[in-house]
Amino acid sequence: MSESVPVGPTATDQEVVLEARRGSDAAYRELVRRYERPVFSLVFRMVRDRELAEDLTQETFIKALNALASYRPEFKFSSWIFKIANNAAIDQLRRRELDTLSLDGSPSAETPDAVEATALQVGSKGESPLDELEARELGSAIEVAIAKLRPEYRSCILLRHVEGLAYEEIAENMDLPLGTVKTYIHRARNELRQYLGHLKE
Amino acid sequence: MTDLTHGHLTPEDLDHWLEGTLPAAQLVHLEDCPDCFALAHAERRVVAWLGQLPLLAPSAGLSDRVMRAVTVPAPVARAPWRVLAQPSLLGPRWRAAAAGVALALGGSGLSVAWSISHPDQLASLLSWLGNEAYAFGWTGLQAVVANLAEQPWTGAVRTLLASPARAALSIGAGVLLYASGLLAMRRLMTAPTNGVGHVRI
Repeated sequence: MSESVPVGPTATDQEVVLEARRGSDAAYRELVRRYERPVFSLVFRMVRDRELAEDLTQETFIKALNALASYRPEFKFSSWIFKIANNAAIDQLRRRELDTLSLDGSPSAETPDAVEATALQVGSKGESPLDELEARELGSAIEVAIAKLRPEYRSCILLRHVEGLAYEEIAENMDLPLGTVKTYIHRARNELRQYLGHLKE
Repeated sequence: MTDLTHGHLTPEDLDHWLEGTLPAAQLVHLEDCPDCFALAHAERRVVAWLGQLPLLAPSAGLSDRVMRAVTVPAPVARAPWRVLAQPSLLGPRWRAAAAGVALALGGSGLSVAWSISHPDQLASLLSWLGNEAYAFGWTGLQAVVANLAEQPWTGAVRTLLASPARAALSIGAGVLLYASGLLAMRRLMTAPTNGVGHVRI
């Protein structure tokens, strides 16, 4: 008997992966169905380009599903696929040199002077934050504020507060020390507070 | 950990506060310090906004595009218990039959296991059962004999068996009658060998 059992929405990710490894086409599709929106959301908010985000999302799934044999079930599948997606987005940003503005300066700055020296100001594109925010809905304003973060901050803040990963998972995901992840997230929140300070609750 | 220089909350304290795990001492400070209070609530507002960001959907057909580039392994043979768990085999009749078989097998297994682990009790039980069976059989035989003795034809049979000569004569007559009957039956049951027309097809 070689028929695969259809995988339902109540099955855990690990069970679906197991079925996929057994050769179930439906299990592969179920994994795509479960994660296409979270992965696309993360990638799109990283690269800010819909077409590119579509390509990177597709690339992420192809890479992940073709390497399913190397996935270790003791880890969360979501962490694994977010890691692949995040790496794809970061690589793309590096290739295209789509760097962003940061209020807090270089993430590698250790001293207050170094932070001050590497800091950039919001509004360098000639548009005041207030004008920009007034022209957009709350959601758009948040998206714009996220887009202004440097990629490392953006990854961390999205993984933490949008995708809901723990600090430890983000550190594992991005191959960064835990302390660095915390610093990135605090700086990202600090920047977002400043960008969004004008918004009412 | 609280910032000892100014007594204000550290970023880590703010994390704890956001997660609802800030110790009481820092909570007291938070209530008393307008700066920390404003900062903490601004952080919470940012985190809430991030949490409300919607999931974005990629264009339709991602699953198909991904599956065209994914190599699904050949289906593998499934373990018997997985085959039995298939929805098609989960109907009420199958379940009842499976439960019956499982009950019988389970009961037999338990019985064998109990017998192996309790040989003395088993011997005692078998002995009791033997005695009971013997007593039951003997009582039953006596009842049958008593019942036969009460039948109206018992007197005639007794008369026939009153002396050895009568008994031998009666038994001989009976055997002769029985043998005649057998011969007659055999002759009647023998297939004809000739003189009988058969239908030709």
